[in-house]
Amino acid sequence: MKLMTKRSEKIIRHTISYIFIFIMLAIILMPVIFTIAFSLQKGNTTFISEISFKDITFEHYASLLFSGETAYIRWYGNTLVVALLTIVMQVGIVILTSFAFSRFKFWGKKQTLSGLLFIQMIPNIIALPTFYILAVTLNMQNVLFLALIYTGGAIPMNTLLLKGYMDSIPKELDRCAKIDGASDWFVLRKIIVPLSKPMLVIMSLWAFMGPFTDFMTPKFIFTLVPDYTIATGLQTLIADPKGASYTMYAAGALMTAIPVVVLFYYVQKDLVSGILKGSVKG
Amino acid sequence: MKKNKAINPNEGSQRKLASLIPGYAQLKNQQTTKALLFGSVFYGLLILLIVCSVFVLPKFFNSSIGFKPGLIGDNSFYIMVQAVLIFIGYVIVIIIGIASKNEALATAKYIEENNGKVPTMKESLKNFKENGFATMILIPAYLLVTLFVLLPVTITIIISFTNYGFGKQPPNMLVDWVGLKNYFSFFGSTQAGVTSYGEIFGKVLIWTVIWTLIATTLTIILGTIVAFVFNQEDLKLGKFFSPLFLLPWAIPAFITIVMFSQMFADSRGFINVSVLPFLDQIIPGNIYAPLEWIAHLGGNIEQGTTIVKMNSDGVMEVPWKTNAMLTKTALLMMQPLLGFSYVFTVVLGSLKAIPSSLYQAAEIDGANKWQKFRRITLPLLILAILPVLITQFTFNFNNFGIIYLFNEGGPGTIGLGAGSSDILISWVYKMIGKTSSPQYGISAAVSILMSFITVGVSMFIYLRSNSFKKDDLV
Repeated sequence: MKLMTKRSEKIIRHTISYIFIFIMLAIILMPVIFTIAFSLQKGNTTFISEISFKDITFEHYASLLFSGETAYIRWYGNTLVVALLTIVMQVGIVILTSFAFSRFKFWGKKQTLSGLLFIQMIPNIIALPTFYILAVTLNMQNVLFLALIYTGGAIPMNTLLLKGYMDSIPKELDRCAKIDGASDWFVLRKIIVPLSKPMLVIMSLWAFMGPFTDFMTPKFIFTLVPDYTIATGLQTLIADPKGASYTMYAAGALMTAIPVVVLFYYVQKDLVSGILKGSVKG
Repeated sequence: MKKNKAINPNEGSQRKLASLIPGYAQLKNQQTTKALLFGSVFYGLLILLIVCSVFVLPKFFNSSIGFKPGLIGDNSFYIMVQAVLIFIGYVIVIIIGIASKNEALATAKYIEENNGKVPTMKESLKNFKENGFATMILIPAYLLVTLFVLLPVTITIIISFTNYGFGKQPPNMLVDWVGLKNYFSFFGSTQAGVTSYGEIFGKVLIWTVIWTLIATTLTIILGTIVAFVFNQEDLKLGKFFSPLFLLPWAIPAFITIVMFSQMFADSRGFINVSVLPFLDQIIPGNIYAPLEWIAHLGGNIEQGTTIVKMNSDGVMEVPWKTNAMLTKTALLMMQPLLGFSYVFTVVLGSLKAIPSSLYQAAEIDGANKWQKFRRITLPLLILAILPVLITQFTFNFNNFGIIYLFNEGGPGTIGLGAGSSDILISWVYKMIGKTSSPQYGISAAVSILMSFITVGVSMFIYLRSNSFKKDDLV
């Protein structure tokens, strides 16, 4: 009797779980499916109810990539440049900063660390109006400025995360190397950096994906459409109520999303463990 | 043996001199090169700063920022930046002074310990290489954080005390100090017939808070439910489906939002044409009645008018994009779907990390299911969720993307540029970006108030989670 109730309880639990999973999946996948469907439609379909699968076309992909009708290639290029600049600057600087905080004692260390914790809480965006005026006045409405904004904003948080990670690398390792006459620089390059690799990979990919998904900062900073990054640029395709092209938008969005999604799933496991470590540590 | 005349750290007057006059202590330590180095850097920078201050600060502290408007005159914005840079310069000078003092005292200690032997330049350099390494490698970070975080934030604070904006824009016009006027304008009284900033700020703030609280709560609830579903170890297909539940996190949100926005279109959107009629058939009762009720919640609609009507195509048209309350409802339904993946990941991770020995021990003590959940799972779960609460709260409070992309903050306007579904950040955007009459002063003040709220709440939760850690789990 007890066994029966346990079994029927399990069946009910599983049925409810699967119903929930399938409803959620339908909702999650709907926008994805519609994006794909839109991108393959002829002409300029605006409403989902108008979608038909009679004649599928790749004309929107071709026109984005080859016609020069839109600045798509330019946006993509801008985004890649910003992403790469951000990775190089951010990872480089954060490695140095975290190493200093993790391995050295110096005057003002504690104050700086709590300062970083505080700065990290100030939302970057409160300075967006100022960034806009700065960019316009200093004639700096370019990709470097955007990359510097991303880097500067990411340093406090990432330093705290990477410092925590480096703290978990045993200090005996560098002590041994130092006894053998290794310099700090050598310890950093040959011991700390290789051992922090999992965290560095997460940081780089995070830095890389940021410019692909952030649509707000470029919108505040740039005035000319060709200067936009991909997330902001794509919106111009649907901003004009008369010439809005959702088919073109969908094609462009898919070509943006695919590399990001692939990268995301590639590092997903590390990402989760990194976040858990970070969040538990606070 | 003749004692060397190194600086005596125990003598108060010498300590004072060492900290007040950089270079003096090094000279006393008989390290001329070092004295010259510290002295020249310190005094060079100080003189430069004083000269700059004489030129810039009178303009900065004038009743307007600058004396003479126009292209060949003063540019208020440059003066603000210069003033902040000068201030940062003074901070650096003070730090050099302190470093110089510390260095001199350390050297004095060295001299004392080595019976009066003064370290040579070579030794000092070697020593610096060892002990100064940390400071050197921190410089790039300090520089970037100062220039790209602290400087802009400080300038935003300065701008919030000025009337920078339409009609008061450098280089043609000077910006005036207005004190706390921008801040007071949010709390000022309302004149009849005139929309004041206070009125609009109040409305936008209320919606921002409601939005943040509901969206954050729903996101965390949904994420937690999904985590518990996939935490059932006997659910065989769970492993297969769970990666798909990360899609909303992996796909750039702006794509999903635009697609949802299209689905919610009034006349021929997917929701109105297909989803609602389908739900109407499988769910007993009239599902349009609650939507009708929600649409009236705003209070701007006359009693008795129907909002949800059949259109000429025979579709029940729910005006998701033209009724303020329905737009807000749609936004609150979408955000949990976009944000739950992150919560799901963190919660599932922490559920998996709970050692099963804890549950076994509880079972031996005769705990039932509910007691196990209440005493083991829940405390650990809350510990994992508190940091997520900070990120979700901050994110939704400043969630420009969904508000702007779904309906551009609309429908309609509630005055002074704000749309009916605008939150503070999207209102700020409308006040400064792509408008013929930008309001930098007011929007800076809004930004500052926003960051007070965000930092305040983050600090509160952070301190709470720390005390929680200490009290319950050691």
